[in-house]
Amino acid sequence: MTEQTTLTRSAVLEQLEKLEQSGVEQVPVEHVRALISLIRDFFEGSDESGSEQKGAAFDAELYGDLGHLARFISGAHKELSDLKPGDLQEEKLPEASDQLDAIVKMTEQATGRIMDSTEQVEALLGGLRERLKTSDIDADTLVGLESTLDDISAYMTNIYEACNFQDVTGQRIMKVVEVMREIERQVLRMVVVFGLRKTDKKLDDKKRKEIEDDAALLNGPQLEGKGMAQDDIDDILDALL
Amino acid sequence: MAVDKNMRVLVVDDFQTMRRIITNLLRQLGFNNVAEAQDGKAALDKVRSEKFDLIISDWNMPNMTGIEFLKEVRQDATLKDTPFIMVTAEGKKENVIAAVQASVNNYIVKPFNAATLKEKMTKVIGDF
Repeated sequence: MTEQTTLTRSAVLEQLEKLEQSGVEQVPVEHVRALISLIRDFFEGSDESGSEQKGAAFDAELYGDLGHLARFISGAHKELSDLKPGDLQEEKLPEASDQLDAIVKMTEQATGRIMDSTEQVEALLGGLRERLKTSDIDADTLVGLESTLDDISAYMTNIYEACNFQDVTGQRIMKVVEVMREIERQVLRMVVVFGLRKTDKKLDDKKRKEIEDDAALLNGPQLEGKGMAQDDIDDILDALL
Repeated sequence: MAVDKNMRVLVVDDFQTMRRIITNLLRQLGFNNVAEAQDGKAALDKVRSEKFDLIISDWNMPNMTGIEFLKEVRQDATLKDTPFIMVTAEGKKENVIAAVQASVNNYIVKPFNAATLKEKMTKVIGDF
């Protein structure tokens, strides 16, 4: 507040104080007019001081801006309410996360079954190799059969290698799930801050910790073209080891 | 000197599927003496109670990460020379450097194949 404003305010207060202290029951009309004039000048900025006028103009502009801001917030509040973020946070996002969780579990189970079967085939192959060693079939046939068994074994290695997909896709999906949970948390904050639903339900501390702990484990895998390939890592290892 | 394929190998990963994949690939390579642990802490307990000739460990695990496990191994006078290969989805340069600084013997990025596993094992334990 400028000095001029302070003086003007002081003048108003001084007049009011004088009137109060005078103890008179009837105040002359000219005194009331003078007081009203002082008060009006103070609020309208029609004081002789230029800075006072500027201050009032600034105040008016500020009030105008605040008005715009209030209308904007109110409009945004309405739009956000129309979007039903409560539904998004309470139903849609958790449902999408659950679906992705289910995909991870299902692929994990499927991979488990593929590996169970592959391990059984491998055990049968081992048994077959042992039986061949003690069989009386001719040498050429034996070589041919062993070569076929080696081929089967190589294909089984391919199956094991391909099962890597479960770990990699599982981690990628869990990364997406974590992003969705973060969005869920942010939407919940928005819902609470803007009062977009009646109950102010907070994330339970245990659940939050579980989510944060999961997040700490979800740093991989790298996307193709991002991060470093094995060759790049080998270059670093060659330089450092 | 040829590698004794009867050597004891410890596979550490919190993902059971991944442990099975590595164990099966090791078996395909002729290494049948394989034990598993689900995190660094369980692995540390195991290496302190049994002797292992090679450790193959994931990086991101609950309770104790692979890099924490590696540091514990290197600080233990009886374990410090155990060959250690990190197998992880962490392909960031700073992670590789951190692992090397912690004296890792080699580093494999997931997903990987049997040929890569064999190549890295050969570099660490010798030809087989």
